[in-house]
Amino acid sequence: MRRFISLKGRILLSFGSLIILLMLIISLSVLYQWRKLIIEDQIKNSEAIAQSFSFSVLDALIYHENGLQESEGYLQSYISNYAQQNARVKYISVTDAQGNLKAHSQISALSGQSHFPAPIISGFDKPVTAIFKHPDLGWIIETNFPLRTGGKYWGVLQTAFDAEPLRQAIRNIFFLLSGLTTISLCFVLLLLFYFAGKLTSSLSALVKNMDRYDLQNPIEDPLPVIHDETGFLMRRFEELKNRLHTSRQKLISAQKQIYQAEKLASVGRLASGVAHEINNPLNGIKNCVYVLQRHADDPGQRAKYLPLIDEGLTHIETIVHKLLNFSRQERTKFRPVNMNKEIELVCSLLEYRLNEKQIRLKTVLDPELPEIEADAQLIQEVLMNLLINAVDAVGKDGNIRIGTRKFGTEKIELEVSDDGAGISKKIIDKIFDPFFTTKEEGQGTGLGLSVSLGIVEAHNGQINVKSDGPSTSFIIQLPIKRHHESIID
Amino acid sequence: MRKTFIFFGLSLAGFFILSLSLLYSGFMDISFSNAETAVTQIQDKRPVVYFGVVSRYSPHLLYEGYQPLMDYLSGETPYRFRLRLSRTYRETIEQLTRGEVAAAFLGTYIYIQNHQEKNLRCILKPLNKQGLPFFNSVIITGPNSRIRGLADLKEKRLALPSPYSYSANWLFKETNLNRSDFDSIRYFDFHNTVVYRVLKGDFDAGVVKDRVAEKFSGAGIRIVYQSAPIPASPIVVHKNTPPEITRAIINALLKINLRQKQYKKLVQNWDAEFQNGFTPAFDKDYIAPKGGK
Repeated sequence: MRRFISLKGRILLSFGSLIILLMLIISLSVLYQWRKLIIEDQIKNSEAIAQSFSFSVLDALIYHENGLQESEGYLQSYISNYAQQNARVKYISVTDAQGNLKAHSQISALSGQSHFPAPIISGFDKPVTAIFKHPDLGWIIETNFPLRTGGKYWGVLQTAFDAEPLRQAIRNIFFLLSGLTTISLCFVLLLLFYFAGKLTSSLSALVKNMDRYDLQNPIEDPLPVIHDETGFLMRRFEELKNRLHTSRQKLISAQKQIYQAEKLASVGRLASGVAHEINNPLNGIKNCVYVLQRHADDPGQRAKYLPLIDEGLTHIETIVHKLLNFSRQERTKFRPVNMNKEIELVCSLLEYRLNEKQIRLKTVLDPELPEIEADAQLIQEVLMNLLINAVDAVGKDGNIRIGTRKFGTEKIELEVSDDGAGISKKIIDKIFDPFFTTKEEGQGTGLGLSVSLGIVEAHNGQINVKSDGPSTSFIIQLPIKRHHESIID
Repeated sequence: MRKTFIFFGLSLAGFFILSLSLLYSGFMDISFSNAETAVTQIQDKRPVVYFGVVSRYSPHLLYEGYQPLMDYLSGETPYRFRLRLSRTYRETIEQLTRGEVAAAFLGTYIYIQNHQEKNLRCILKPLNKQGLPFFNSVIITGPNSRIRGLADLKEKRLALPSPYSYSANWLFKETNLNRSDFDSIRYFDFHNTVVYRVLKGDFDAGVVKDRVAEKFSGAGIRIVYQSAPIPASPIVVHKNTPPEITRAIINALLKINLRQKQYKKLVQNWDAEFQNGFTPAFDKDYIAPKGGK
């Protein structure tokens, strides 16, 4: 996984690196040129001094060679005095064309016991200057100046000056430029940091707004008005939020309609059983009314049959009440639900159908089952769907088993199993698809399991199916505490 | 993210300090040398021939102007020519007679005075810009001088070159002026020194060769009078000078043809007196001229 680097970080990293690189290149170039100029200036100075010195030396050598006057003593005194009066002079020497040392600022060097660098004797027309570190004298700038007049080579004048002031000058410039570069870099990077922050702050505001946005609780959180690309993005985000909100409303509405439609479909499937349930007490009431009509004045008959009529009507009222409870379209709301009671209610509605097919219903309900936070209406619909499917699946004398139990500390588990036809492996992956049904036309909508899955998932639960041969089990796990918003809110 | 930035910042700072340290040590190493490959000089074992020159200029200037000519002769002949300077004009004559020098650049005046007695023979004389073997002595003054001609020189301070030079003697021989007409007269070793002293105002007027005066015209030197053409200063040999050396010198110097580029370039560094070539010289040419203007 690639490491996350913020836009601000990227700007700082890329532009910062570029600026650092550019400033370093510029500073180094300036530093190098400055250093070069200082060194060249010193070399020119050294050569200029050697040249001005060379005139006197040349005259002395010319006079000496032509025997015009005794000049070696004069030359030696001249060089020695100059060296004594100039603290920067490390040494000065004059060597003739044959390589004989004619004069030296250090008298001791005349004896030949010298640790001074040997001059370049011949073979050069221009001054040769070198800067180097002498083991005894430290850094020196040495010029070997050829002594020539009209093409005649007389020898070489060697001058050496202390180069430490030159290094000091370079050192000063180095620190000055380094300091200035560092300060400038810090300043520029701070500016970059500031502007990058300013540039990305609107984007950060947008990201924070996105993070805070709650589809279930859309609160007014206005974004700053910015007239740039980020502002454009913000306006688009606002529009997207509005569209999401509208779509969600439509989705909830559609979902409710589906649930209700499916519920009404279930009621339709219950209708024959309900009609039979009502018909039995209704026949009894009819008989009682017939007897009472014939013996209208007999108080004994009234006392005998009126309670029977009342009992029959109460029975009918109970059936109708249950049916109304199941089919009522109430506003969904979460409240504590006892799963065992909901199972009993739904089973009672299916009692006729179960008896009709002589199906044995076995309920294994955990009496310690905790209540869960759920929508009772929706849970009933899930139970109804699963039980109707089970009733449809099993044949005469079949078995249906309903069980409840705790699953861990935070969930409960509900299992509806039957020993009907089973579900083949070919279709088991499709049974939760909308409008998928194996029933004959008019017997089912194909939405039962799809709706059930939606309801369970809306309760943050899971629904699994196992089919092994003729037996099929639907296992539902639901959380005890509602800890998530869902679309059914 | 903050940790990344801190790490990045610290790494950057570390890298910066390390680079700075390396850079510092690199920049502080100022080792340098502009030495080029030295040219090995071949040992020259040819015989050395000394060439004298009268002390008309300072030794330094003489080497500047005359050494290239020696180098040319060394290149064109089987000899190595070397200059031999002298303290005075007369010393060069002595060097010739003693055989210390095989030839010499003499002054016109001293040659006329000594050639018969000292067995000297002129062999060549330099040409001027007009291609003629003459020069002029000229009277010079400073830029603010009121001297306009010979008549204004009376009671003035006069600077002259060597008393053995033609310029130092011409004035008194060829004009009506006498030494007593001047407030003071002083001789200097070199023509250039005469110019310097006149320019400085130490002297009201001076006498030098025309070529020297022209050289300083830009500095304000004015020529107020000039001599009639004077035979150019000759190159002289002694009767004992080996004829092959004399012949070699003559041949080499007469070979110079300034219409050819190679020679034009060759003479550029020579003393101005020799930049126009040479012509053979004969004793009959060296008779003192008369007059001036």
